Amino acid sequence: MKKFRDLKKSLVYRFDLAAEAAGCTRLTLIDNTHACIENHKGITEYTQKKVCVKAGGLNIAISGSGLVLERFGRENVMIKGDIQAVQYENLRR
Amino acid sequence: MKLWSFFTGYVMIRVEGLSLEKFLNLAAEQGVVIVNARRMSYTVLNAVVSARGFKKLQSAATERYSINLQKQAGVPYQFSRLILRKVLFVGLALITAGVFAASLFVWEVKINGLGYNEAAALKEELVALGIYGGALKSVIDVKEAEKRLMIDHPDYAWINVRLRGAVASVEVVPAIPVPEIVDDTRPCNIVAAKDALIESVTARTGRACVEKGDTVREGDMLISGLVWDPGMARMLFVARGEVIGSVWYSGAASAPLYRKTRSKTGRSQTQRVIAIGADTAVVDGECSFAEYQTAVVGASYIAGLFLPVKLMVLEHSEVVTEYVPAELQGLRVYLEERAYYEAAGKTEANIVSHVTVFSHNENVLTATAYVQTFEDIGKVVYLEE
Repeated sequence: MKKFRDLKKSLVYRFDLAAEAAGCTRLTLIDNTHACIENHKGITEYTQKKVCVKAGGLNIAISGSGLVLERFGRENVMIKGDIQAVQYENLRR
Repeated sequence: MKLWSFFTGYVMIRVEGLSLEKFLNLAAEQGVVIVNARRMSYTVLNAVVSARGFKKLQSAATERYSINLQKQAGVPYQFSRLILRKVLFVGLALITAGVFAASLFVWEVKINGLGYNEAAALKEELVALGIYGGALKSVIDVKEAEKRLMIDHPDYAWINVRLRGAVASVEVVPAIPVPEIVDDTRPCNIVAAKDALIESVTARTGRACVEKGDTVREGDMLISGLVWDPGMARMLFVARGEVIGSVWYSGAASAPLYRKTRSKTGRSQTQRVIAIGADTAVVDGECSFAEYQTAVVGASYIAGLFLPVKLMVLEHSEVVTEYVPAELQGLRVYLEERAYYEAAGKTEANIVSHVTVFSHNENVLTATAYVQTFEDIGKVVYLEE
C-alpha cells in the first residue's frame, strides 16, 4: 500500500499533475491569520488554542489563540485566528 | 458565499456534548458545511450551518449531542415573519400596486430645443394631442403626435416624442430658414427695407438713385432696374448692388425711484386657527393691526393623522410701509443695460455706437437706449409688382 502510494506520488510529480489528485494535502497560509487545509481526513482536536487535522499519514497541528473554524467541510477546512505555530507529526512509523 | 447563505437561510446552533471533534467529522461526512465554529468550552461549540444542514444534523446526531437553535436568519425566515404581519404585507402590496399604477401615467412633459415661450406654446398643442401631465400612456399615439406636429410646424426640422417612464420627452430641432431665392432673369429694383441714412452705395447693375448722406424711408428706390434716358431706348436690368445705411434701433426700460419696504414695529399678536383641508376657521379674534405679517409658529393635528384637521397658531407682527429711495447710480446702470439689450435684440447687424437717454416721470426713471448699425438696407422688388 505504501509502495502504491509512493508510486502514485512519483507519477504525479513526474507528469507535473495537481498534487491533490494523488491525495496529497495542501496547506495554505495567509499571513498568520488564516490557514486553509485541503484534502484533509478529519479533525482530531479543536480548541481555541490548538487545531489538529489529520491529513493522510500526517497530523497537522496549528497552534495559536482565538482559533475559529471559519469553514469546515468534507474536504476543506479554513482556520482563522492568531496562528503562532504549524507543526507536522508523522503518524506512520 | 455569505450572500448566498443569506438568500438560502442559515441558523446559529449551540452544540453540547463530549468529543465535539467527532461531531464535526460526522457533520462533514453528512455533507454539512459548518461555518464559524467556535469552541466556547470543553463541551460547548457554537456554529453556523445552513437551514438544510441543520435538519440533517438533527437526524444524524441523536443522543450524544444536544443541538439547540439560537437564531434563524436569511431571506426565507424574514419572509415567513413578514407573512405573519398581514397588515404590513398588505401595505407593501398596496404601495407596490400604487407605484405600478402611477407609472402608467405621464407625470411630466419636458420639451428640449426651444426657448421658454415657444416651449409653453408647444405644451398647449401637446395637450390637444393628448400628451399632458396625468394622461394615460397607453392611449397616447406617439407617431400620430409627431406627424401632426411636423405638419403644423414647417419651421421644425425634426420632432421626436418619447415616453420614458413617467416623463414625456419632446425633442425639437428648429429648421434653418431657407434663404430668399432671387430670380436672376427678371428685371427688378432695389428699394429700402427700412428707414436709414445712406452711408455708401455700390450699384453693380442698374442706376443708383441715392447717394451718401441721403435719408431714405422704407420703400424708397435705391437702385433702379429701369434706365430710360431721353433719346435712348428703355433698358431693363436686374438691379444688383449694396446700399449700406445707418439704422437706429431703440429700446427702453423703467423702474421706480423709490422701493416700498415693510418694517416691523415690534408689536405682535397670536391667533389660533383651525384648518380643515384648505379652509380655515378663526378661534381667537381677528388681528387688530392695520398692516401685519403672519408666520405659523405651531401646528398640530386634531384627531390624529387620519383626518386633515389641524390646529395652527399664527403670529401676526405689525409692520409699517416705508418708501426707501433706490440707489440711483446702480439703478441707472441697470436700466441702461436692460434698454441696450432690448434695442440690440432687434437687429443682428454689428452695433457701431449707442446712446442712452434718461427721463424722470413722477416716481419712475426710464432709460431709452438707441443703437446705431451699418447694414445693407436693400430689398429686391420685381418690376411688374
